[in-house]
Amino acid sequence: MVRSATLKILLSVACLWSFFVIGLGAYTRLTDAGLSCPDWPGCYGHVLVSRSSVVSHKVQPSQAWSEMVHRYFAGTLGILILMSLFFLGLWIKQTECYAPLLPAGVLLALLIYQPLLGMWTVTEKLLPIVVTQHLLGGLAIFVSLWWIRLVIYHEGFYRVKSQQVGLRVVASLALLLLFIQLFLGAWTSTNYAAMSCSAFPFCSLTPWQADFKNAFRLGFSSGVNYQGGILSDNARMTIQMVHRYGALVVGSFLLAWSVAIIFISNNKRFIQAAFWVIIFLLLQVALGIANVLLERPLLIAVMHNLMAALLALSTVNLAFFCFHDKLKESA
Amino acid sequence: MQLEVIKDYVELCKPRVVALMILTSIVGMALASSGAISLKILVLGNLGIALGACSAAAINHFADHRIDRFMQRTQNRPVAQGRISTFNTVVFAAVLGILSMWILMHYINFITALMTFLSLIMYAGIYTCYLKYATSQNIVIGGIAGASPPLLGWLAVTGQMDPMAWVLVMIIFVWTPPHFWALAINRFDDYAKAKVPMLPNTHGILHTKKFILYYGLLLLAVTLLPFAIKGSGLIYLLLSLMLNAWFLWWICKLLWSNAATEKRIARKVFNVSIIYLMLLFVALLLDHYFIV
Repeated sequence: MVRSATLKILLSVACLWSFFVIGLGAYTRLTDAGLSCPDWPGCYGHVLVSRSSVVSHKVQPSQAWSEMVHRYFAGTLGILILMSLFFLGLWIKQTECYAPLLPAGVLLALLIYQPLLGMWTVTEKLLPIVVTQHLLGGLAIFVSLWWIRLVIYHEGFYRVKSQQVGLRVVASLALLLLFIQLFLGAWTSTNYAAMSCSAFPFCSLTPWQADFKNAFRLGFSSGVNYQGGILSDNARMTIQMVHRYGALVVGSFLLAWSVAIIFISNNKRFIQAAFWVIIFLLLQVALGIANVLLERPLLIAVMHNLMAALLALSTVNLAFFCFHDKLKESA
Repeated sequence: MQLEVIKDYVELCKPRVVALMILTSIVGMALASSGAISLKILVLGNLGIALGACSAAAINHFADHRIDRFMQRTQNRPVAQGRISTFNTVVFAAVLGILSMWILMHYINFITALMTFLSLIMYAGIYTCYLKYATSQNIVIGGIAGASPPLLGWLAVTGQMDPMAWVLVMIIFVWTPPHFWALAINRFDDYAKAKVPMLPNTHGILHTKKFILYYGLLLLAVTLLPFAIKGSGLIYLLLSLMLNAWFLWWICKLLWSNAATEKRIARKVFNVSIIYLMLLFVALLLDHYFIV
């Protein structure tokens, strides 16, 4: 017999933990500590950062520790997720509510794929498509844990199917656009294109100078070390500009969607969910602009990564209500 | 008819609150400048900050338009009464907000625009839509937003966050609880009807009176800081001590009042708090420009 409360607490703890791991990952990447331990899962074969490896391999201790701390916390997150999935299994058997199976399946897949990506980040020397997936994977774990939490908290929704087709289409579109912009953000970071353009709002790059072909080449050549980025200035500026335009398009869409919901809905849950999307969206845009105009200070850059996680969370949260709850409750 | 409409839109901006904020921002600018404040910064900086504050005030009117109807103090507000539509209010707020950001980014500097923006999110977003209903410490935490104008003025001049700027912010931050809690005692029934968890409603009026005193004493300590860090001199010290004595006298009167007189005295404390802050910042200004 598992009590709903135990499962809810476990999920909340895992969710918070994953948020922290995202922050650690961002910090590791932004302090260029990603390759400080060339092997995985140990550091020069050791569990801890040992003095011998520091001396013999000229390892920067603070960077190696950043990398290892990220791995320790990620490892413990994996254990927390396994525990959550175990208790979730018991809960499903008990309540016979099978709705959490979809997000649980996603989480299980991520539990396997994300550590592999972590390993390849190191062995493939920061190959952009790998690091991008690793970043998105972290966000996906965070969001999936919340998704399961939503399902558990709102079991009652699944007994009545919501009919709002139009709203579900809009919500799906919002999720798709969000995913694209998150990808662009990750791509900007992993290709070291964040500081390629210190002018705001436009880069000194005309559309015909832009190098789309190289900017978005997803394939890879092995043996290359991608630390610091290997793309030309033009390609990096192209990535930066596309990310900015993406913010304009996706930001406008998310803003219009949530503001419309606040005006149209009389359901408190919907209005609250829309409110948080607006807050995180505005903060994320401010942080993005601050990254450019303040020349990407470490704190602002880490916060931009964490705020992206919160924006993703709130968007998925609102989308959840669009799919399962009633926009207008009958008086 | 036209004049009534203009008056309503002006009311959306909470002009008296914004005016007090701009006074504190001007003082921030003055203390940050050696000599006279640059005219461009004085006018355009304060215009940008004021427009931002007005935008936040309009969002507050929008967010609170339903509960404003329950409270005697706010029931005649434009959006609560339907004289201005919710849609127009949001558009008005958006226009003011964008204008504010543009002026600050174009004529002042980015850091001022960023901190102004964050203050607006804190007040119009976090405080108005969430904190207010979440805890009796709502105005304590949310007070950081209203305390920011001296820092914004300082940033407009120097682009840097110096200790003196934060001291000014702290003064307003510590002043905010006694200011609002006095009002909350006076408007006890209003907040009860609106179901907003103000301290008198959640912990009782006596508890609130005591905490107003504690914060009043803390305020005395904090207002000594400008002198202690050598940002201000003797003129400020003497004036601030006199003002603190005056404020604390009325806070004590509130503490000693009984159920028959407490609401009237609470209103007086609220009014005293406003004049106190105004004169305190004027004292900072006088001290800065007249060296003994």
